[in-house]
Amino acid sequence: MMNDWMQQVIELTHQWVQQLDLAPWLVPLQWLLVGYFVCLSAGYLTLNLVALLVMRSHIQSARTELLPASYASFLTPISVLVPAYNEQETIASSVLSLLQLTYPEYEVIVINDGSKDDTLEVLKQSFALSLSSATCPLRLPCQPIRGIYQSSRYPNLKVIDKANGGKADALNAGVNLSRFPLFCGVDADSILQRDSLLRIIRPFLEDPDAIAAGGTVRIANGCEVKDGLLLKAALPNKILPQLQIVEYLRGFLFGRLGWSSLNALLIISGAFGLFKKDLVIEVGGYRHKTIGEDMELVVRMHKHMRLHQRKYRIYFIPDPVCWTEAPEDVATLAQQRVRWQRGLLESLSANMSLLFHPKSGVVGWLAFPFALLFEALGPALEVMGYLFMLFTWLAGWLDPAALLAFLVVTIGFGILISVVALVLEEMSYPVYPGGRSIMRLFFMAVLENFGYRQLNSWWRLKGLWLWARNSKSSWGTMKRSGKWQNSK
Amino acid sequence: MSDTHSDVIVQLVWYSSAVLLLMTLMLLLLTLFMHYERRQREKSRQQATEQWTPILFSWIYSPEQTTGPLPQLNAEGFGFVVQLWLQLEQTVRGSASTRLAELAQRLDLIPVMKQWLHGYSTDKKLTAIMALGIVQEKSAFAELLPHVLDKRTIFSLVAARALLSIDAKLGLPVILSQIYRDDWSVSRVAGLLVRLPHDLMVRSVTECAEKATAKELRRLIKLMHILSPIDSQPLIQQALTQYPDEMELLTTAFASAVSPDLLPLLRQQVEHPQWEVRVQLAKALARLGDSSDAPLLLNMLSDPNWWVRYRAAQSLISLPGVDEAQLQLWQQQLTDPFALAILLQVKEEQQRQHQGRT
Repeated sequence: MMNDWMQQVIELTHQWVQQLDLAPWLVPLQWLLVGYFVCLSAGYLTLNLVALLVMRSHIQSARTELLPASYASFLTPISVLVPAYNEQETIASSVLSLLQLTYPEYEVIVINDGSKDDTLEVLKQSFALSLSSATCPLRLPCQPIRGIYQSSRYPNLKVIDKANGGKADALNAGVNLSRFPLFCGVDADSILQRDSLLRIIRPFLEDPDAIAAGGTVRIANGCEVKDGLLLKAALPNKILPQLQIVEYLRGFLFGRLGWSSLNALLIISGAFGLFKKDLVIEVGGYRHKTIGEDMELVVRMHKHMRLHQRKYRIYFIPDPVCWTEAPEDVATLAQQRVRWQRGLLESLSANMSLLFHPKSGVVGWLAFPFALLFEALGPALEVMGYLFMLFTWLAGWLDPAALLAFLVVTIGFGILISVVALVLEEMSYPVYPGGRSIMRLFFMAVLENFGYRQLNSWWRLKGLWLWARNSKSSWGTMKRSGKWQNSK
Repeated sequence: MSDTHSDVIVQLVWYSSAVLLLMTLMLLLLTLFMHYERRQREKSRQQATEQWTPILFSWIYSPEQTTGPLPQLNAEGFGFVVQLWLQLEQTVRGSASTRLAELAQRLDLIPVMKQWLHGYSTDKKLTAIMALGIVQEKSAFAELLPHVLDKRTIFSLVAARALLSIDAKLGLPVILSQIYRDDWSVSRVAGLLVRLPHDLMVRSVTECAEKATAKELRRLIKLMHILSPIDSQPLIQQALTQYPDEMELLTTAFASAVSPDLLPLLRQQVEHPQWEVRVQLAKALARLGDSSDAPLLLNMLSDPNWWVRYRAAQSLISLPGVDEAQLQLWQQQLTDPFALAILLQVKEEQQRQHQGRT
């Protein structure tokens, strides 16, 4: 029955193709797609090689991983900014974990961005907050501040209560109140390793030109967490988060590490990034009404420094410093990926003048075009590729053996770059215990090529479409269980 | 595309797939091998810690038991032990510290640290700078000197501490030559100088001030105020006489003034054109002044700037010997409505605060 149906589809396609006379278009299109795949693969392979080299030198220069405690008195103090919107379930344990960080001098500023739930009440009760008479200069624009609270239990904890203005607006308010020269933006639903500030400060200690640094974000599903502190890393049981673990390893460990070594890193995750405050104020702070405010700021910082021909460096450190919950259902994941894609496109389009600008260097001539072609517009080409293969096969122009060969090489390449990410993880800071975890992740690296990758391309294409239609940006509602915050 | 051409391409694609598969398997094996190797390394680190922690403690507390030979160490084990040694060193003082320095000699630490000092590893370099400072290795002084000039803040500060620890007299001029670095915060510099002999520190900073610009003098006043507030007074005097128009310097100077001897000079600034200076003056008069300053402060209640009026009112109320009757008298005498309003506001604020406390 099924075979008859397939046969009919093939015959219909044959007739249709003959009528339309599409043959002259197919060869150039075929070469365009092959060329795209070759360029993409070459780009990823180069990034992989660069990442491997950088990781090697990173490990050699930081073998002991942490600075001895005796350097503590010389470390630059940091303001940790935590924007929170409707986070009543998790905010107390998140803040508690931030108050337990191992760092000599830091302050935590939680920004309640006009939450509609009891986020502020939970904070008031958990940390004995009282209204403070403190004021803050409006160096960056933000929505009106309703009150600044000071914890009587923790002298380094402050809370800003302000009208809703979005994450970027909340971060700007936090920057305004912050006292220290470096600030670190942290998502309220993430948890940090206790030593994360000690790790991420390293670029600023070693390089006076460092203006920002980002760390690796890992997936917390499956891990044991108590009172906002990670006790034991483990792989989750569900397949979807496991697939995302491989994806995160790939994205962070070779993608960002590779670009960082060329000083062309275009994104520092909003979940955890350290910035030089003066410079962020100089470029105008976080941009309002943007989904990808984290990436947009970094691209704008690049633009500012490159076009003014100032010496600077933006770093990525491979240390696992921040843990976050990954979506466990397809709908939430789809929503997240659509949002990420729109954020990427918004960030790039807002700074389009950087593209091929004579002063923009490797950022404007390599990283920006790469992000635009392979990450922003890539999903359209990928989906076109899948459709093209299907179409040529149905039209009888593609030998099944050739189709199979192309599929195998594409999948093989996908698996190879995932395995390089596993190597990089093992070289740097492996967190999952036992050889069995490696094998499970390898299995996921194979499995993701059969459905997950294609779905991702589809969601990203949807993000591209929504961005092109200029439909209203919104954070949407992320479904998070929050169970992992106290999983033990 | 001809069939033969297509066949060649497909053949090539199959070969590429085979190469990719081979590479993937090799990388997977490499990952598993590295995993095994790391576990072994962790084990040896654990063993080194378990073996050497009691040795380090017995060196400190039971020196008579430490005459025997020390266990052999490989390069990796040596690194772990140095870290342990450094960590312990940070927590002990006096004879315990001396004993740990002796252990460093036994471990032949100095030549290795000198090697590390010239290597590429950041951690090893920092460890070497610290260790050489702790053992006060005089022969390393010249090698440590360039690190004070390092652009990287942490290197320069750690090296500065090491130099001061090895030879304070020789090291101090080098540190003072870097004292105006923007990345060296005043509190960090104070942390470096606080362990020096008091006279040496005061003399050196005061000498530095003689040739200082207004910006530099401001930094030195802040520094001296942390280290020894009373010794910052000559610097404040210098600021008031040498740079009477430098607003930032004067505000710092007024904020740091602790000696009543400065009062005549401070009072001269009551008409200073910049309100920030007048604000700090009002605050300084509250700390140092007496009842004879009341007329000055009463005049300041009519200042065009709100902050000056507010601080002057606060200072006036806190002057020694000022009671409710005196305040009533001043209220009746005041003709300027702004002056009267601010005095009443501050009075009410203080009453509320008092009620809140009781």
